[in-house]
Amino acid sequence: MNWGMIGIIFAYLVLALLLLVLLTRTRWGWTIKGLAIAAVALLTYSTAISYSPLIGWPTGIALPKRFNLVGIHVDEPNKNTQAKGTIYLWLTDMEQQLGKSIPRAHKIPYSPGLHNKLNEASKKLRKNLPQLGETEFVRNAVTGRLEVDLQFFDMPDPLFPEK
Amino acid sequence: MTLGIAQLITAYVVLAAVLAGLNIFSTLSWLMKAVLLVATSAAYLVLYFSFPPMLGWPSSDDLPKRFGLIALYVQEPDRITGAKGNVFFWVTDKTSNSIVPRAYLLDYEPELHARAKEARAKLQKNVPQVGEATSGDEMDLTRMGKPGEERQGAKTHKYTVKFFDAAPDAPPSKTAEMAAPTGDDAPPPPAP
Repeated sequence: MNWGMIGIIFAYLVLALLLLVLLTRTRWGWTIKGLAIAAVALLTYSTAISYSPLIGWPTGIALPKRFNLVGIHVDEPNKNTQAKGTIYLWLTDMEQQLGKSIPRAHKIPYSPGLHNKLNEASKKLRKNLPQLGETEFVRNAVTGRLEVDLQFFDMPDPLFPEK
Repeated sequence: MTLGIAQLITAYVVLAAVLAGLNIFSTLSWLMKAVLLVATSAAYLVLYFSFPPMLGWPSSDDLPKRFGLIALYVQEPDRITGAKGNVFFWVTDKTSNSIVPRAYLLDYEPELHARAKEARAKLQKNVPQVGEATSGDEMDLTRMGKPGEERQGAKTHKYTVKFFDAAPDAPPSKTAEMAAPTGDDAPPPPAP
């Protein structure tokens, strides 16, 4: 159970507490109380059945500082649809179990420079050379925004014995 | 009715606000009412920040019936730690033509591992792989128990995943698939 699940449980405990107070410590009519019970039950049920379809899709949260690259998928910009493009990365965090943990899917905005670097990393992956990625944040000279930059290195052999 | 993250958070905030509003007229002391309002406001924030940590991890949902394999990752069983092992797939759904990949996990099976290795070898040779998944209940003879003993449960939900080379005449896509995987070595186009 991760922090996300604990947070959701906390939020729904607060909702249950609000409902309990409404039912036991107010003089509202049973129509309102009944509607409140139905609404809380419906939302809880919707959350329960919505949870599963949310899992597995890439997250936009920050990449780990050091990671083992498992897979790359690039959705290039498209002038016709005005799509800005996205780079999807599947990776394991090197801070956990030396990069042998469960892989997590991330997404970052497309940039031609990153695409070039990922092409190089992809070539090496295909040659069975595991790639160690390092995340850096660099300030864009034009926009002034912090942007993700990635560096890839060949993984030291002893860390990843071939199974 | 399944909802997206934004819809879930909105529905929660609206419902919690209505309940908190109704509870203003409760017989609780003002201190308790204030505590309840603070807890409700905190719950909004907690819920908002609870979804991102859950995203990106592989799903145990059923694999799409037909999918494009982007990458896979195998954790073999470990006798020392008792880990049963998993096979992770990163795929695009061919039935919905979605270009966003989704991660799935299946229980480790030697047969599945062998097929996955074969598919990975082809991906490394730039031969895109399409997978087909079928599921169903199967008799698991290893869990049948001995005669006279209580049966531990014989039926298990099993997957059969088969891989094929992707059709060579598929229309070119704007989406480049690479990785331990397939890849497009062409340089990226200039920025739009």
